[in-house]
Amino acid sequence: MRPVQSLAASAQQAVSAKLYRSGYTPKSLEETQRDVLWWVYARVQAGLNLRPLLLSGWGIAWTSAGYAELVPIEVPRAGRDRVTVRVLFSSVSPGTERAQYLKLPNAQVGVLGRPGYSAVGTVLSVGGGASGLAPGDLVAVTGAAHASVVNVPADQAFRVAPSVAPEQAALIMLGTICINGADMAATQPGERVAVVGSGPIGIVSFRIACRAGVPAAVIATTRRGEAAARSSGAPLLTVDDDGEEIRRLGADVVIEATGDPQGINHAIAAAGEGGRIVLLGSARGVTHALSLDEIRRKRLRLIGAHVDTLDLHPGPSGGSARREAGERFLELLAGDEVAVADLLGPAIDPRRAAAFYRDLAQNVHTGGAYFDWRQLPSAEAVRRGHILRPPNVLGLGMDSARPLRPHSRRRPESLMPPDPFAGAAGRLRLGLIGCGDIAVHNAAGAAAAPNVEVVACFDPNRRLAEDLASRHGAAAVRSQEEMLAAPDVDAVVLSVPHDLHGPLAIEACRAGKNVIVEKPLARDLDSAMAMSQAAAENGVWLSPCFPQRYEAKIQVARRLVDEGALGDVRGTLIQLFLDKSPSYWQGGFSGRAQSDWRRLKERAGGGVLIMNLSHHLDLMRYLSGLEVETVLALAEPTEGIEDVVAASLRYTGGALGTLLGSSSTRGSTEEAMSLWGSEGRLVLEPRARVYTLRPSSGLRTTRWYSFGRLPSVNIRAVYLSRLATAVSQGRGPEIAAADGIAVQAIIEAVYRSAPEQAAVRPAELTGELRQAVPAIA
Amino acid sequence: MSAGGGHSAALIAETMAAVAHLPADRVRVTGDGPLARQLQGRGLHADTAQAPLAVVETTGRGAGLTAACAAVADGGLVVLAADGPEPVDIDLYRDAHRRGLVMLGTSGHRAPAPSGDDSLARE
Repeated sequence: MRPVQSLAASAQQAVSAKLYRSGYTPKSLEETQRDVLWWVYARVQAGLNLRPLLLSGWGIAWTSAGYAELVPIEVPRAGRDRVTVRVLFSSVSPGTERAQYLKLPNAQVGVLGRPGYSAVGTVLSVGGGASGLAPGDLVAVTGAAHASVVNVPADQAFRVAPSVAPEQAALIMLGTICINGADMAATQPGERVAVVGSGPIGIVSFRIACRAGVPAAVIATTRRGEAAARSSGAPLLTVDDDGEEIRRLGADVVIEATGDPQGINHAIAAAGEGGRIVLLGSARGVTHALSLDEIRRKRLRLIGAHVDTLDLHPGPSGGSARREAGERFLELLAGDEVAVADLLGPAIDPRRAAAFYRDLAQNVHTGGAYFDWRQLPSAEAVRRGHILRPPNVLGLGMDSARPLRPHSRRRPESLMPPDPFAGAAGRLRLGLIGCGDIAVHNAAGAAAAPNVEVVACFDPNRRLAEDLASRHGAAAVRSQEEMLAAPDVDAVVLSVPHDLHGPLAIEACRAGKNVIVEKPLARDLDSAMAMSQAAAENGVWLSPCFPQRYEAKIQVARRLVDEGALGDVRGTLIQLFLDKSPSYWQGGFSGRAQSDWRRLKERAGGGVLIMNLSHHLDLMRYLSGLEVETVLALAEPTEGIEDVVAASLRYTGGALGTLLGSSSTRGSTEEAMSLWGSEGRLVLEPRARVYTLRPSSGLRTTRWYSFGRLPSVNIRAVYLSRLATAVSQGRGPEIAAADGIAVQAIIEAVYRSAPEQAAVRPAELTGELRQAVPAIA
Repeated sequence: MSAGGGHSAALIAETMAAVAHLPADRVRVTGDGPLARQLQGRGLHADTAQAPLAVVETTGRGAGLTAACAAVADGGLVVLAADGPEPVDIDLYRDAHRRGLVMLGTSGHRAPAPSGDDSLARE
C-alpha cells in the first residue's frame, strides 16, 4: 500500500473507532457516510448546474446487498440543458433491479446506490438551452432514479401525449430497449417470431416484433406468463415440458429476454436455419455449454442488443438512436399499436420499497411493477431544500440500539397513545373482597377512574378492610355474605390468594354479582373453567384483571400491530428475571398482609409463571391475536412452586415463541419482551421501539423508532373505567373470562409439560374439561 | 474438413461472403490452422493498429472465442468458422451483448445465405 493510501486508511480506522466508542454501529456509520456522500454530490451538482437552489424529496436507496430504504434526497433545480421533474410513477425493471439488489454478476449499481430506470412526471423547471419543454408538461424520463423528484438532461425527457396513460409512459426505458431489440431483429413480413422469457421486456419486444412477423411461441421456465403470452397471440411453451416442440419451432427470429445465462441455449434450440437471435436480456453470469456447433450448423446470427448499443450508431432519422427509440415507443402507445397495460403490474407505495425488493429477490413478486410516488404526502414529495443544511451525521434509526426519537411536539400519529378515558360512561360500584397489597392498587385505580367507585370492603383481617374503606369513603362490611347481599355493589373485586378465586367467584356469581378477579383467573384451569361456567349460568360477567394491556406503550404497540406494522406475526420473546426477597414470600412486596400462601403450590398454583408471567402471556395474546397451540416446557423445581421456567410456544399460524422466567435471579429486575413478523419488529421491553417495512402514519419505514416518553397512566383505573363503560353499554368486558381461561390453559400446559418433558396442547386441556363438564361447552 | 485435408470451398466462400461488406484489412483471422491460412490467403488480414471490425474465429475453443470477442470493435462481427467446435462456457453479456457484437455461424454445408445487414453495415 502506498503511503498516502496507508495514511488515509489509518485515518479512517481512527475516525471509525472514535465513532464506535461514541455509540455508532457499523450500520449507522454506513448511513452517515452515505448521507455525507449524497450531501456533497447534491451540492457539487448544484455548483455544476450553476443553480445553488435545491429541492428535496424522497428516493430509494440500496444501502447494502439485500437492503432497500426510502431516504431523503436532494436534487438541484434545473441548470442548463436539464429539467427537474416531479415524479408520478417510476417503472421497475424487475430482472435488472433484482440482479442489482442481489449484487449478481453483470449487475452493478452506481456509487450512490440508487436504483431506477425510467419515470413519468410533471416538469417543475426547465434550464436554459432545453427547448420544447415547459413547467407543467407531462414527460417521460429515462435514466431517472426511483425518487419523488429528479433532475435529468433535457434530452432524456419526452413529452407525453394526453392519450397515453402516465403509468404506461413510465415504461419508456423498457420501450426503448424493446424498440432496439425489434430493430435488431428486423423482422420481415411472414417471419416466425419466438421469444425466450415472459417478463415485460420479452413480451413487449415480442409484440413489437410481431407487428411484422408471425407469433410462434413464448418460451419460459414457468407458466406464470401464460396470460401475457396468449394475449400476444402465441402459445407458451415451457423448457421442461415442451423441449421437443421448442426444437421443432424453427423460428426465423428469436428474442432472448430472460436475463438467465442459460436462456440462450433455449433460443438456439428454437431458432431455425439461418435464424436471428437477438440478445436482449442481460445475462447474469456465464453461459455453460454454449453450442457453437449448433450455431454453425444452423448458420445462426446472435445479435447483441444491449440498450447502450443504441449509442453506436445514429437512429433511422439520423438523430440520436436512443432518443428516436423512446419517441417511437411513445408513438406506439399513443397510437394504441402496442399493448403494455397488462404488463404494468401493481403500483407500489415507495415507503414499501424494502418489502417490495425482498419479495422481488425471493421471486414472490415477478413481472412488472411501478412505484406510485403520489402515495407520499404531497408536502413531503417535493419541498424546498437548503444548500446550507448540514449533512445528517447522526446515523439514528439504523440500529435497535440507536432509534429515532419522536419529537415531543410532533409525535408520529402511529406512536400516539389513545386517551385512556375517552368515552367513559356508566357507573360501576365495587365491593372489594380481600384488602391486602393488590387491593390497595385496585382501590386506587377505582378512585382514579371517572366512572368507578368503591362502596364496600371486606377482609377477614378487619383492620385491613377498615383501612381501605376509610381511604375511599366505603363501608367496611363484616362478611362476604353481607357484601354479596349489598344491593349497591355491582361487582366484586377478588384480590385474594389464588386458591380462593374459584370458591369466592362462584359464590359471588350465584349471588348475582359480577366478578373481577385479580390475575390469574384461578389457581388452576379446572377452577377457572368452573368460574366461567358459574358466571354463564347466573347471567353475570367475569373479568380477569390484566391491566397491563392498558399501559400506554401496549396501546401504542397494539395500534401498530393493527396497522400492519408487523405483517404476519412470526415470533415472540418473553424474559423476566426477578429477585424476590425472603420477605416477599411472607407478605408480598409491601408486607401489608402477612401470609405464606405464595410459596405453597396448593394455594398459589405455581411460581413465577402463574404469579408474574401470566401478564406477559396475556399481552402476547392481546398483541399478536394468536393463540398458543403447543407448549414444550422445563421448570425447576418440578415439585412445589417453580423458581425457573423455560418454555417454547407454538402459536396458531406457525409463529414460535420462547419464554424464560425466574424469581430467584440475583440482581435487579430485568425484563425483555418483543414480537416480530414478516414486516417488522416490536420491542416492548426494554425501551419500547418499533421497526417496520409497512407505511404507518408518520413513521419512516426501515427505521427504528423509540416510543419515547409516553404519558404515565394508572392502568388499573383504565381497566376499571373501560370495564364500566363496556358493561354500561351492554357490551361484555373487554377482558373476558375466555381470555383468563386461555392464559390459564397455557400455564396448565407448561406445568403438565415440564415434568414429562413432552409437548402439551392447551386446547386439548380445555377440551378435556369441556367433555368432563358439558355445561361449560 | 474435406477428405484432402483442406476446408471445403463452400465454407471458405460462406465465410468470405459474411465479411465481404467490410474492408479486408479490418478483418482478423484467429488460429493458425489450414482454415486460417486459407482465409488469410484470400486477403483477410487486420491492421493491428485498429480494432478489427470482424474476427473470423477458426480455433473452435472457448478461449479463442473470448479472445475474438475481446479483439473486435464494439458493434463488430465474430464469424464462427471452426469445424466441430466444442461447447464453450462464455459470459455473453460481457463479451457480446453489452458491446453489440454479432456472432455468425458458418458451416459450409449449404450455399451461403446472403450477407446480412448487421450493425457494422450502418457505420
